[in-house]
Amino acid sequence: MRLLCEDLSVSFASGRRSACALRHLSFETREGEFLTLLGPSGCGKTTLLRTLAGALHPEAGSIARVAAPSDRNQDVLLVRQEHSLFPWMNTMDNAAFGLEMRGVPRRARERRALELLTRLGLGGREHLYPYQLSLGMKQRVAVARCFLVDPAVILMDEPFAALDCQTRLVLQQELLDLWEQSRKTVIFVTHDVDEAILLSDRILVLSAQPGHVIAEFRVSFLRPRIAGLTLTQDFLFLKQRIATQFALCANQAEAQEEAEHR
Amino acid sequence: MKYGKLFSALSIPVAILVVWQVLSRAGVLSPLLFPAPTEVLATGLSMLSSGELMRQVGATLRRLLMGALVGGVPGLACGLLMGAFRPVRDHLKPIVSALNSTPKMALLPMLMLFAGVGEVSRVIAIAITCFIVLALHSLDAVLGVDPAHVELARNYGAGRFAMLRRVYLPASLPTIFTAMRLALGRALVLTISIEMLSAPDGIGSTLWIAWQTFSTDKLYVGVIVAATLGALCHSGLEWLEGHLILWRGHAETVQCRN
Repeated sequence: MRLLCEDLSVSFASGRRSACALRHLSFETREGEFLTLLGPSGCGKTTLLRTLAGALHPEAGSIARVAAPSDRNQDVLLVRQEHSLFPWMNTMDNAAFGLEMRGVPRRARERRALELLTRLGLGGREHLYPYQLSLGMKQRVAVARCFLVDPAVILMDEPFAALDCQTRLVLQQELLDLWEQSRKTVIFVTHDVDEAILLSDRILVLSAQPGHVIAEFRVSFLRPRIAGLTLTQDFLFLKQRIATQFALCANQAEAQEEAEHR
Repeated sequence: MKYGKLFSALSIPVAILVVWQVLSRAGVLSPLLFPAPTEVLATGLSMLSSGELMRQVGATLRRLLMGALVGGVPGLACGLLMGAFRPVRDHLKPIVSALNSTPKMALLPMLMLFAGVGEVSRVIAIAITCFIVLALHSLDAVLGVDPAHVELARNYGAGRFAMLRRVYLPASLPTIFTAMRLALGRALVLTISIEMLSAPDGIGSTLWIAWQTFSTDKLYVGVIVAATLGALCHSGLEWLEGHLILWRGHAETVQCRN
């Protein structure tokens, strides 16, 4: 499935005034593309993903969903950084939740969930509750729940931002492996330039609030990709170009904030 | 370590009992006001063997549980409905809140007017107490459900029923258990008060008759039984909660105890 966003404006009420999170944002994904949105914190990335997932309604503009023949369903699923699991369900029930909502019988969904959980190193932990899991394991379960449904589009909102560096590298690799098998359209949000380049086919840099696209980069490294890629010359060259652009808009954001305080 | 703690907890009550026993036997304390603990125990045992004690406890428990059931279950349903539907909340919450601050004992004469002086009016008064506590707390529980979890479930296509069963109910359960403990505690206070005032049997009635006939040993038995009943209700629900709600961090509980 492709998502076409045109002239999207979203604002939400925060206290008395309504803050404009996105203004006239237009972009589109390509079929089976890993697209990353890179932007300073508070540029409305989370708002954008929640809007794409259907949890928020845009004030203006439109989101078109163009289905592809390879889609098994019309789902657009969101993986978040926090609140990604239900605390009252164990690992198995959390992972199989999407299948449960689709009416897959218990035995079948547990078999499929266990298979993927085992692959992600969570075998034998399926009866633990989220409070007994580390952050990395929790995010693995959330990723597993999403991939089990095989959605048409996967939205990821800084899913690895809270992890330590080591764990993040492992989870990035696991995500790459999973995605390279299914090749579903992904919109990934991060403020980590390395992560953006390692994972994606294309990167859009967003400006500070209200967010709009200020730069676009293609990432043409061959797949399957491995973590060692981040040390190659080409990678660093691209990183430099992106980081410059990114720093520019981060500075803008700060200046803007200062101006508002005055 | 565990036994050490138990020893510390018991040392003061045991010391008081020993001093009491000695002073009472020595004639320093009036045996009429302070019968020796052994005498209270003997009275208690004889009441137990004659079946009187169980009869009274049974009467109190029957009222308490009837009231809890008749009031608590609709209270829970009412709270969940108020949480789920805004119009229901807007219409009902003011009434329930107002009733919450009314001392339920004040309603008893009125209830007797409507429902007669028999068992029905007593159970209704207890039921009202349980209804209100359950309704207000389960309303809070539903409103307190993290919207992020609701959004997550909706994103995965959860319908109305699935949302209730998989999100709202489990998320509210801890608060509902707290409400049940609170309701049962309040209901016990009310039950015993009502029995003192107007019941032919029950622990409250036993206490009141003991007071009027100056049978101080029975008075103490009554107090001990009432206290035990309260503690049992509380810890019974706590035990049930511990076995039903597995997901709340046990690590946290341990930390709280330290």
